[in-house]
Amino acid sequence: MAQGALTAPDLPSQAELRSFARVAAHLLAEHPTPALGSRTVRRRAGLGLQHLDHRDYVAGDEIRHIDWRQTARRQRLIVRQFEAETSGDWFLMLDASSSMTTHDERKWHAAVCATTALSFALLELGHRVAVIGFASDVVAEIPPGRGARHFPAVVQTLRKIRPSKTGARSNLVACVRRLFGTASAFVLSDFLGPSELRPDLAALRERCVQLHALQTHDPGDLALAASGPVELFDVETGATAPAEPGARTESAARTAHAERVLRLRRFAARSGMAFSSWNVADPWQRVLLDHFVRARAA
Amino acid sequence: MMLFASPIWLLGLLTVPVIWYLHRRGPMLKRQPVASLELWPESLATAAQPGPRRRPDPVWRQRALVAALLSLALAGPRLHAPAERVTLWVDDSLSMQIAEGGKTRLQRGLDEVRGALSARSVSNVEVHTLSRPWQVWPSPDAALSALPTSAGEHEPRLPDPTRLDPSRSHWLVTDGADAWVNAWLAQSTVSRVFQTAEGSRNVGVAQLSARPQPTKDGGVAVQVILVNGGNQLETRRLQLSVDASLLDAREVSLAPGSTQTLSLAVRTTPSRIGARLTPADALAMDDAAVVDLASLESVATVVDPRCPAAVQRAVDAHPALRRVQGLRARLAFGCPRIEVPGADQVRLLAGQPATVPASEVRWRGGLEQGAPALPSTLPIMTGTGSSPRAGEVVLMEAGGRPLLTLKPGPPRIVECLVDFAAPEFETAKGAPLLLGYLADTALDETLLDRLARSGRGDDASRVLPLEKLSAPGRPVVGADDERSPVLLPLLLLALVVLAWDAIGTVRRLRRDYFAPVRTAG
Repeated sequence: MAQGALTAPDLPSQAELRSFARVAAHLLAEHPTPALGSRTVRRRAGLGLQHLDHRDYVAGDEIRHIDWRQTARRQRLIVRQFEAETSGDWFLMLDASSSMTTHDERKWHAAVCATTALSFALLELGHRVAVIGFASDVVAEIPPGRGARHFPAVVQTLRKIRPSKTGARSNLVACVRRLFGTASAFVLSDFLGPSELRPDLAALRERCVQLHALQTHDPGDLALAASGPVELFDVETGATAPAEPGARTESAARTAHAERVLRLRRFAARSGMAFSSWNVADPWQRVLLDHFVRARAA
Repeated sequence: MMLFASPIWLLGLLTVPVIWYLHRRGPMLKRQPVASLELWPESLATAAQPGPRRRPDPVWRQRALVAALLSLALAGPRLHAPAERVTLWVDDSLSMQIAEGGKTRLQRGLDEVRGALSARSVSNVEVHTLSRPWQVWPSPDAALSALPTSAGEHEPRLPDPTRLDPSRSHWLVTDGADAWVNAWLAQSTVSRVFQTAEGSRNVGVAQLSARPQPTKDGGVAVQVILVNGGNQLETRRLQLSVDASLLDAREVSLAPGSTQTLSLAVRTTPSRIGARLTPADALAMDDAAVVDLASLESVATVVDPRCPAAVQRAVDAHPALRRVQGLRARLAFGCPRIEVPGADQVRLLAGQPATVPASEVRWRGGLEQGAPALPSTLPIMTGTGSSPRAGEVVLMEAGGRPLLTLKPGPPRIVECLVDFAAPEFETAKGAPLLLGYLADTALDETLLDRLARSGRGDDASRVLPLEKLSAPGRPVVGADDERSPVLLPLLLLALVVLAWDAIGTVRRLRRDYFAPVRTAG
């Protein structure tokens, strides 16, 4: 597999990545194959080579899939559908907004680790992997790629992303138009935005086959270290508000966070989205594996 | 009563409410960055609540105090009003008499001065004119009302600009059209200038002069100098009159700033000559000039009948001498003396005839150039005369013998030892010149070069301001003025409060931006 130089201490080691990939392979494979040589393929629409059916054209379909003969016959745009294969396209969307940088960028580093591990595991399974860093707009993008040679490019790009400390908001919908075909999407974000970015997730859900959302959470975001009155400064919006540090204030913050997580869970359940909340103090391996276990069971 | 030297600085007190407004949102709190304000519902609710108004940051009082103290200090508070004493210098030259908008420049300037004096409540005012700087009007009102009637008679006679009274504020009313006044202003300590000048058109008679002609039948040469003191091409009609009759009239065009000289010969010797420019302009005083020729009349001269014939002929031939009989004469030729009361005398002394070579004749230093030509052998009288006394001047000598001696008067007496009865003067032409010289010396004037003239010169008619004037000096604090006793304490107090506030601000900045941020996470 990839021999990318993972020298930075904040990125997983090769051993960790391989170990994680071995375990995750069973969870990420659509139909795990116990042995080489035989493969069961369930016929369903997807990205493949075998023609399966026709359907009406919708915005975002690739032009090359339009069946012009059927279009002429039915007097409307008709596209070909192909049989899905076990290997597909995965879009890993990494939140690079300013809220990910608070408290020594713990959330950001955790999300980068998880993205690295996910891309490694998915590439190991033969999927095409694309990585999109987003804030107010797309800040970095790696087009879909396959194979061992793609992983170093992913790592290099992840290293280059430098989230702005202030002023960069979360605008997930900026990534929606980057999706094409029948892709799967995995969003890593703290979802600290208007309505927990649920409208953006809904728009994203319509453009992909399956959607995973992993909410990073740092307990430090819910604590105030100062002793006297402080002025809270929203690093994304720049808004300020006075606050009196204390148990009551922090309790209210924890409650607000829990309610936000709960609203995201309910939204995920309604929209068929796999969702997990991740305390970044927890190891990324366990969080990702638990997430995929829950997603598979759902 | 508290007064302020620079009350404009009191506007700085308006910064006090501004400072309060800038601090109205309460004290500057330590800023803590958070991932999202939505995680802090209590804080958001507190900020959104109307609730009781937050108390402004108490540090606003310190900063308002600093601003107020600095404003008061800069305003220069004084417990007693400074008694400003003003010396007003009024340029009453001719150009100040030009009428602009119904008033002369002088009147307009004085009106401005009246307003300025009343605005500053100045009661101690001395008024001087530049034409007569030694004259002082003790009362400003009297001076301001008397000046317009006497102005324009003389051009400025400027006092020493470095010797103006340093304990008084000096103001100047001028139009800036006189280069000398402007230069005087630049060197002076005048602290305020009232420059009044709008109009820029004027043609004037700069000079009218008449010179008698050395001809048998007399006559005078008249010269008129016109000047265009404005900035436009002007055309005037010049009328020259002799006594009561018009002598000549001609059209004259003058370019801006230019002068033109017109000459005319008058065959007779009138008593007066006048020149007038028509139509008159805004400055009428220089549109006409009159010269009285009484001073050019020939000098009544009495000649002693004992004098040689050469003397008689020379006096008769002199165009500026007129022989009279009797005692009413200005000049008398005596041989050796004649009694004419009040008349200057030329005494031709008698003695033993002799001659001296002209090369031995020595004139007094400085007289060689203007001395008349002498015959190669000068006949003189010897054995008479006396040594010059103190105060007497030897004008000519030969071999140590005085030949011409001047006794300063009055009356002035010239004693001469030249023998005019000698044959050399019967034929030579030197007698009239030498006698003319004796007459000039006795009368102390050059009879053949007399000139009668009238006018104020080129600069008097120039009305165009040469420059925009500014006062070179600063207002002088009156001698009885005292420095503000509260200035230094106010400044010190402001500095202390400012330092106190600066220390607090530095501490706050260190706390908020330089101290490490600890989080509970």
